[in-house]
Parts: sequence; structure tokens; C-alpha cells
Amino acid sequence: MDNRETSPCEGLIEYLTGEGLEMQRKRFERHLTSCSTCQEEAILWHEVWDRLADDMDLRDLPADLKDEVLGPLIEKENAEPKSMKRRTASLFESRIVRLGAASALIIIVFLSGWLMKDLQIQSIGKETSIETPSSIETLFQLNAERSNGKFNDSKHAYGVACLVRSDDDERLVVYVFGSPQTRDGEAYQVWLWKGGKRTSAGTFTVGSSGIGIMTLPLSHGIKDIDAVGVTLEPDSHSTIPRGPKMFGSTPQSSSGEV
Amino acid sequence: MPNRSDGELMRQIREGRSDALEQLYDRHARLVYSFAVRFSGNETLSREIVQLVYARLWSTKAEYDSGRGAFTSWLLTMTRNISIDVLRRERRHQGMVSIDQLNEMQGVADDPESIVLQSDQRRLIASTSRRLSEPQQRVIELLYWKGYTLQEIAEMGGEPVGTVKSRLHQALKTLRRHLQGLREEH
Ligand SMILES: [Zn+2]
Repeated sequence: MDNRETSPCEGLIEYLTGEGLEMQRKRFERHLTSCSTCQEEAILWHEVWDRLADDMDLRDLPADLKDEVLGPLIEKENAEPKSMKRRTASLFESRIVRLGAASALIIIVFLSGWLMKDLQIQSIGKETSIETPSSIETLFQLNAERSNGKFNDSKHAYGVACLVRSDDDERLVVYVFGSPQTRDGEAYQVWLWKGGKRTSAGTFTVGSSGIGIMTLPLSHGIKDIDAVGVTLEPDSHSTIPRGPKMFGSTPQSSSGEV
Repeated sequence: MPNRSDGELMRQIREGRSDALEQLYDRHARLVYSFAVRFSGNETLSREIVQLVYARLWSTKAEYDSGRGAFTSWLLTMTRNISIDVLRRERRHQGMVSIDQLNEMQGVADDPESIVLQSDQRRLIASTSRRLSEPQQRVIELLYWKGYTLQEIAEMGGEPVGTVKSRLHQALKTLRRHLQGLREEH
């Protein structure tokens, strides 16, 4: 580790431990393609790193864990013909409860009791994908862009971008909470960054509840999204952002992604 | 079912075959659970971690590429990442633990050797990690098994992050040398 402070090789450990900002990781990845020293080191580190897991005792699995884990994931295969799609609030609720496996979204939903009601209205009134998800996973936490002054009245504004998978499709679902109401044709617009390119994913409005939801059916390669941004546009026809940025994703957590 | 490889099971999972998921549970859940227990030290959280791991396997988000190494390494990397998320969430609720509390929790202050090495069934790496100095063991414990970032570890110990990094570097180098030595012997 001599003189590493000034060398580009400096970033290796952060890179290997998955730390640092996306930008730093990208920069290091570029360095890695051209530095044989770092390449060799990286391979060797991986060998050692993977072996660290060996330092554990094998435990006996709790007998009831299998049903608890697999039950919510595969139960709907055994029952539930498609024609039985119901959209009552109680069904939605119980389904959410049984969906213990899902993710932060569920926690968010329960923490925000007031949100429940709104989601029910959504799921009753519209063809959203939320009624029978088999899995929901948070892709990005969206932070309110407070510097634009739009959130001065809202202490708890935030958002989530999730991947919702149900019977036969996958959707990107973006929620924002505690966000200013849209007026006079204004629209929130969701932008996806992928490989340095920005595309629009759609628009939504926010009512007096401060909640907005947008769903986008996914037919192609959503797995490589690098970042998500939400702007407030004067109308719903923007092809490039014209209004202020309202939410931005934090660097993507690496969980589960190898 | 005849023996399907893990890679095959993953392909079948993408086709929505729940029997493949079940097979992966029977085959690897014990490993995932054991890892989670070691990582979180808590049964409830470990159960949640297993659940999240299998939910992730069942979702199409988890893509295993058999060209990139053993399935169990991939699975454990995923398990570790999910464990980190779960533990960070817990820590956000509890506030940051100081290094002293951590030492107390682990009984480190009494017996430095016991940080990493508590079991009878220690395997290779465990015997190796005994060769590490106590600070080196601790950085691995905090980083790998507790999911703290280098920055957080530096703050806990009141040290520059560069010091922590070079300690980690030395520790991994020692482990690597030992593993290579063992490999050459066989
Ligand atoms: Zn280099």
C-alpha cells in the first residue's frame, strides 16, 4: 500500500468492497480495464473474500422456515384462477400481509398507514398491477431534491422505485410521498438513466394527498437502470426535462446483485 | 427429480417453476441461514434474510451466470448484500453502536482471539485468520461480517480511513498467502 494515496489503483479496495459512489465505481472500472496489477489483485481478492464466508458454523434450519419462506412465493400457483381477480380492500390487505417476503415497500406501506387507503383506492379504481404481486423489490430510494424549495412545507417527502412482479408481467412502479400537488396541467415526469442515456418513463400527477404513483410495464432490459430522476414539468409532453428536479435516486444498493 | 445443476434450477426458476425453487431451498437454505445467523447474530433477522434471499431468487432480478463462478459463492454474496441491507436498516433504528458497545457485545475485550473464532468446527479460513493480528481480525469482522463500511470503521476507531484500508489490505494478503500455500501443498 505504499504511495497508493496518489495512484488510481487507490480505489481498488473500495471497489472490491462495493463502497463509493456509482461515479467512482465507474471511474475505477475504466482504470481496471487498463491496469493489469489491479486486475490480478482483484481476482485474488475475490478468491480470499469468498472464502471468508467459510468462517461460520452450519446451523440446523428451523423446521417451520420452509413454509414461511416458500409459502408466500409459490402459493398462488396452487390456487387462484385468473378469473378470480378481486379487488376488495381486505383482499389486497391480506395479500400484502402474506407477502412477508417483499421489501422495504411493504414496510413503508405499513409505516404510512395513511398510504394504505390511497393504494386501495388506486387498486380498486384502476388497472394497476398492485393487486396480486408475487414480489416487490425496491430498486431505488428516491430522495426529495430540497434545494429547489418545493418541499419547504413537507418534511417527509420521499419516493421509491420498485420492481413489481405479478403473474404474467413485470412493472416498474414509482411512488412519491409528501410531494407538492400538481396544478394547471403540470405533471411529474420520471426519467431513467441507462448507460449514460436518459429516457422518459412516463408522467403522473399528485393530488392533495401528496402521493403520486406511476407504473410502467417492462418488456425490456430494465435491470440495467443506473439512476431514476423525477422532475416537475409544466405539462406532460416533455421530451427533455424543463422543470425542476424533484427526486433523485441514491446510488443503487448492490444487494443481491453480483 | 434427478440431479439438476444449480444453474439449471435457476433457469427453471425463470420459467416460473416453483419445484426448482423448492429444490434450491432444500439444497442451500441451510447455508444461507447459517450465514445469516453468523452475520446478524439474531434468529428473527436470519429468518427474514432467508426469506428475502429466496424472494430475490424467485424474482427475475437474480441472474446467475454459471460462467462467473460457483453458485454458492454467488448465493452467499447475495445473502451478504441482503444481510447488510437488513442490518443497516436495524442500525438506523437503533442508532450507531460505538466500538466499545460492539466489543462488549462480542466479548472481545476479554478475549481478543474469540472475535472471529468461536466455533469448534472451524474451517480453513478460521485457522488462517488466527494468524492475523487482533486489529486485522477486527477489520474483517466489522467489514465482512458486520457490514460496516471502511469509513464507518475508521470513525468507530477514530482512525484515518487509509489506516483501515491498509490494515485490510495486509489482512487479505496474509489470508491469500496462506490459502495459496495450502493449495500448493495439495
Ligand atoms: Zn491499478
